[in-house]
Amino acid sequence: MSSISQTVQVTLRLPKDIYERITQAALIEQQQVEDLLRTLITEGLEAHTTVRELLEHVSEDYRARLAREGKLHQSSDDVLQELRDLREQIARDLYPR
Amino acid sequence: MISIRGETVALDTNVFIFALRKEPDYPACETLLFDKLPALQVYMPLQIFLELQRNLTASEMRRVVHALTMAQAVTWDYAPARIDLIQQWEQRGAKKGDAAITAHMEGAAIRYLVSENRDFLKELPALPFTVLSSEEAVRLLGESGS
Repeated sequence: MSSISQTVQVTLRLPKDIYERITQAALIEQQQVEDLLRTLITEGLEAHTTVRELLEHVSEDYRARLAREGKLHQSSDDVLQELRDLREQIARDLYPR
Repeated sequence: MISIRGETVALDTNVFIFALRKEPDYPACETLLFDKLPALQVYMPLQIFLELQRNLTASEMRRVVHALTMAQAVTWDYAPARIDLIQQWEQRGAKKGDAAITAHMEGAAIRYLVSENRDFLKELPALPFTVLSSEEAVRLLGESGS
């Protein structure tokens, strides 16, 4: 998530049923509970921001992930080609005939 | 001069991806999505939803979906496109994926697709919708006032 270079440790008390829902969701999304809690709190805060603020945060995370995957500096033509290939693949899966 | 204000438009996957990447070759994608979304009526067909889902993490996708709820209006079309329309557009020369998008657009009577993919224009001379670049879409939103 955004801006995790500086962190503070927080102890949180949650109702048991909420905690169980979070652990279940973490399992499904293959995340650590701590990471999912950070995501959910960030998303909750973003519910009150403008479109630009919200998408700036998504963009920051997305670009950081692309950088980790070595894909941030792909040319726009390569990105377009990947998207064309993905479009065909999804269409073939959805409409096999 | 046409205006797309008050029109429902589909935003192609490449508009979202270039906006989030902050792609310097297509800066208007960011302007359109980050700044003009509240002025847009957006149609989101299944094909584009799935393409976005494949490109984004669950958290990124949830937040993009949340951003779309801040558009003037958003129509989520989770139904597959009509097979007869897909076949019809394939027979006219479209690749299956582009035929699926075209079938979605035709089935829902959407008149504008914002896309940086020029394949639609190359493959199909008689599309039932107009393909706009993000730059054209931003200009057409701006020209109609406010």
